[in-house]
Amino acid sequence: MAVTKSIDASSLVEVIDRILDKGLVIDVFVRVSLVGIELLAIEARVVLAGVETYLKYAEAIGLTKLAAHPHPVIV
Amino acid sequence: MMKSKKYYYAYGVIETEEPKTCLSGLQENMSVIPYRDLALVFSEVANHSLQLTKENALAHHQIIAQIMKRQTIIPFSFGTLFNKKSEMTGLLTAAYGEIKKTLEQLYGKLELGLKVIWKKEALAIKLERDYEDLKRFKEEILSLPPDSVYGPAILLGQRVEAVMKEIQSECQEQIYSPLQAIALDARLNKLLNERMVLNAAFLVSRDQETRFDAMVNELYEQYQEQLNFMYSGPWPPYNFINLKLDRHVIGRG
Repeated sequence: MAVTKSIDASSLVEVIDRILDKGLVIDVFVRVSLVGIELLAIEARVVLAGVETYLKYAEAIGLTKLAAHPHPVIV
Repeated sequence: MMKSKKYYYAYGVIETEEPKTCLSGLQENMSVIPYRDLALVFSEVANHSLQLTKENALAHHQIIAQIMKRQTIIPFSFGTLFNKKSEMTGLLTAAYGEIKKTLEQLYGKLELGLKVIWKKEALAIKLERDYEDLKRFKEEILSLPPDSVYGPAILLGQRVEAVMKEIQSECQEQIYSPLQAIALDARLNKLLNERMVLNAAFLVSRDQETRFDAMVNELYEQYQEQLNFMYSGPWPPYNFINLKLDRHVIGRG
């Protein structure tokens, strides 16, 4: 089976992966105000997700036991 | 009545001798600021608050993608806003030479994207096979009582993350390098999840597109048992805009 290029413009992951910090960037000051806040929120989520990320890596080697035993919520 | 302030949302810069007709087919609210043989495509917006929603992100991209079908465009990053029309002219004036050079470098070229992601089962098998200490550690954890699993699982995750780096460089050698050899330019971007081992963008000459497709397919055939390929494009050349402009360059207009 062959792999063909998709140009599915509704692929949010592909679009976001390009438009946020790539392309012609003037400087932060000119950028719309709420974008910054929104991005900060995303970054915060990433930090909070740090431990979750490691658990994902553990899952990558097939450690799925955690799914059956809810772990403490880290805030 | 007080006249409300307007802002100008920028999409991209194109080369055109006919700024009036270069927008045909696009939404009515789109306009251009011409300067010599360049034009900056923008739309007026009522306020400077814009959320990064799915709709806004896609709208930004779709307008640029539409223009790209007809001509080379330097796409602006999401959320670029000007206070005054004169600032847009100021940008085109101050950076005219650099913009022309960038457009020239992009002419007749395409951006293509490739993300490579390990299949879940295949990755677990590879990790257990190639890294026996990790396999043993995992089995130890599985024999622990459920309430003492959490800490060791994080530790295991950290070790898996470290070996994923090795797997990523393997993938770079086997998949990225042969493609990079055909491309005119290439970028490695941040990996978006734990099973992703390649997130690359390539700048490819239009007449090499078929050859590039064929090479992607050849690699896919070779690795499809283990890896998923997300091959996409042509994209506006978001990854290959090396212009960094300071607001001071634009001037007050």
